[in-house]
Amino acid sequence: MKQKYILRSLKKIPFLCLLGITIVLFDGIYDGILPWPSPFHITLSHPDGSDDVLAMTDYRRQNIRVSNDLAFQTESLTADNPSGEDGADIDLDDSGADDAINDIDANNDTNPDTHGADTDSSDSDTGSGFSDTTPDGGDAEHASDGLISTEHTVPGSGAENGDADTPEPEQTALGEDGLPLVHYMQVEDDYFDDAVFIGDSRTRSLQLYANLEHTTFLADTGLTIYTVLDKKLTPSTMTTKTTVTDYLTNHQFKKIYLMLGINEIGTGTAESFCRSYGEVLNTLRELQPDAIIYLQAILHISESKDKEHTYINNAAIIERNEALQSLVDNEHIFWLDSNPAMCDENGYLIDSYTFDGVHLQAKYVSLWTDYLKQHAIQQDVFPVFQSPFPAPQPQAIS
Amino acid sequence: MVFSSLTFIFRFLPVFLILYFITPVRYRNLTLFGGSLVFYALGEPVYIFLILLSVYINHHLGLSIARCPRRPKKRQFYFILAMLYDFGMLFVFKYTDFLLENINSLIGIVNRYAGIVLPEIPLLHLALPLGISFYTFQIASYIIDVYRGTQKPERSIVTLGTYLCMFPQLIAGPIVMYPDVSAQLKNRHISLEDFEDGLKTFAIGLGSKVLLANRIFLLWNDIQVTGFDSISTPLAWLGAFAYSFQIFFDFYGYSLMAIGLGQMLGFSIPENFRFPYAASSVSDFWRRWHITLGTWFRTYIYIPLGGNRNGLPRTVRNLFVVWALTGLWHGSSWNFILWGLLFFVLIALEKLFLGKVFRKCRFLGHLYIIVLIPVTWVIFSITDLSYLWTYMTRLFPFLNGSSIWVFGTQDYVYALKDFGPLLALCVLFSTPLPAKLYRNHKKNPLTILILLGIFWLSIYYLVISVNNPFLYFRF
Repeated sequence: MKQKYILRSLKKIPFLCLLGITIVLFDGIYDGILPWPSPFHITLSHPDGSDDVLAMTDYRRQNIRVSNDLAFQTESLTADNPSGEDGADIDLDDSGADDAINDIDANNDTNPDTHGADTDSSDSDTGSGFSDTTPDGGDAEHASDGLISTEHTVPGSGAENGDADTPEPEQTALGEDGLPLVHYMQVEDDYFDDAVFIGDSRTRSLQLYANLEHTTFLADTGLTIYTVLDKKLTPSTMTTKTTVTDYLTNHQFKKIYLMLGINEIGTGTAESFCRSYGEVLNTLRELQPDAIIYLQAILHISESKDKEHTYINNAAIIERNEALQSLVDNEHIFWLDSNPAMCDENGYLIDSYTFDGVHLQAKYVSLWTDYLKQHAIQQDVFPVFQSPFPAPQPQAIS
Repeated sequence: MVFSSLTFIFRFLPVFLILYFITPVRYRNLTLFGGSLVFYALGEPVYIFLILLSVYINHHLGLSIARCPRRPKKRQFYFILAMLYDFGMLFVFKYTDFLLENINSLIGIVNRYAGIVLPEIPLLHLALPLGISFYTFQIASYIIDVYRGTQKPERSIVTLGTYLCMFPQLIAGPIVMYPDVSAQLKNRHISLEDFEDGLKTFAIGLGSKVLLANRIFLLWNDIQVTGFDSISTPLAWLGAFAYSFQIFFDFYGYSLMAIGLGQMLGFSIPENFRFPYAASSVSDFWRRWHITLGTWFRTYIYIPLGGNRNGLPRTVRNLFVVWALTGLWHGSSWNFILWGLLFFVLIALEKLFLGKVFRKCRFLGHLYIIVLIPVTWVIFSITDLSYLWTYMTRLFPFLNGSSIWVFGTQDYVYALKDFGPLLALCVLFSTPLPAKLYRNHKKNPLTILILLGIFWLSIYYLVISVNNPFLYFRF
């Protein structure tokens, strides 16, 4: 009798019942959502094995305070590179840059999940320290070790950030590591006619407000290095959505301007970020063999945004920018740091140029484009350059 | 702590509800009072003494007023004391710096023209106690009612404290008048169906806040990021609409959540919004927007001043006072006063002749509201007057003879692409239609499932915005 009565009253409150059941289930999956321990434990793991997505139990870590002392960091970086003239050349003294790219390739080869490459295609393992790794054993950890070591050999890489007035380079020379030095030329808007810009909302503001009508933009809000190739977005030349991979398969460009990294700044580490970046660069090279790639430094944020001490902070940006420079070969992939055009001497995006501390306001976008125009790569200086390290071989598109 | 947070929904609320319902009925006010103080303290640990002091002083003075019914002088003394305390506190915390800033700029002018150097007064930089504008008005209404003799003073300090601090309406209204809930404070019955109904209302409110307001806010945020002087006129209008929807669904959602929570605890908290954007005149709009605040001003300011009964000049004066105060209540800055006075002008015009036109031709009235109200919200939103002017010139480029386009790009196309569906949804939910459907099909299994979906989708959005704000505020 009593059970019948309870059942009847429960029928009157279907929403409450359903809500209760779903909450209990939810609590079982992501234990810790309710203030008391869950009686059920349902174990679900993320497809990637990571716990990063929907980590409910961690929802209290609202403000992760990153205690990196940016002022100290920029100061020490500037001290590394005292002579102003040196700052002119893009200063890639890292002897491991080529290695790093090879490492990534090696990693790709041994990791069938990421590229689907056959393990017996042992072409790009030359020169890398991982040629002896077994197909299964050469996993991400090894590659990241290699990246860590190369990343630490990048001195003064952030120093250009402070140099607002970068003089034009005069002499031609090779870097100590054998990487060619880069020479810039001044160009006009038409230089970008056969260029494609790939990036997040910052690139999108370039698309909207830079008045580069003949340039192609593949930009979307929230784009990350992890989603850049496969996310459906609307190219500036089209009205329908497509992916970057599809678009670049069908359209060829001479220059690729790439800037990503602010959205994923709270995800992963500089190494994991850099690894994914390298994979994307490889794919871009495959898709666009004739294009040079401008790997643009992640733009800094303003002082007031930095002082909010969230995990979006200049220290993290600088760390990742440093790591990214290991991907540059100065032959196909060039480093381009526009921060001097819009940052103060401490490397902060100037407050009056921005509302949210992250994006340039529309009327200051020209600072960025002008800087890009002043820093076009003069390619004919080194028509054929033989690197002492073998360049990464683009993988055959299967 | 806000209702639309995981901490509130999954931690505070379950614990509180269990404690509340295992408490014997006669002690439930105490549980509610205590729980509300915990709720308040979690968001505002410092000024909690201020609200407790307010409860204590007003409880005491209310009793004192009632204790001497035949001595009007003494009654008046206690009454004025209570008013001075309540509005004095509000003034000190909310308006001192605004006053000092204005005095300082006056001093600056005097210094410049008289060639003397008067020192500027340093600002206090007091933080605004959470919900002070709301609870001051509530407790003031109680004291005024007691003084007028329409309300018996409350003997139990716990009951009065429960009224003032009740967490559903503590920090963002609705402004509940004491008579609305006085009976329920003494004795309330909660059935399971009422509880379920309240929960549904809460889910709708949560969806309104998280799924509509928070997301349409991104369009407004994008415009601020771009910079007001760089947006095209169509985008400026889209921005004005987006902000109008954001402020409505935010406040409406919050009020709905308050009403729902009240219902779950056995209180009937009054309705605060009745589809304001479906109004056909500005006066009509204000009968539908923030109804409890409008009622407060009408009951305690407009009608005591004489309302509209003493001839046109008096009516206009009364309207002026009410709207200047309404503007000031919303914030201590000149743009809020400007905003309030704009409504004064509009409502006075409607009282004079415009109202007749709109009553005859309702379509014209709706059009007027749809165009005008977003402009008033822009004034409300932009506290810096020079930025406000910039925005106005973008809304109305003929103001300074500029072009509709700034960069030649059709930025509004992109905004429409990104936010078009959301804007359409906002328009739909501004009309009475969805609410009517809901009312008629409350028990329908489909409705239940939709509500469940709304709830969990909101939770999903809350989770991603907490775990990674940049998925939510994406760059």
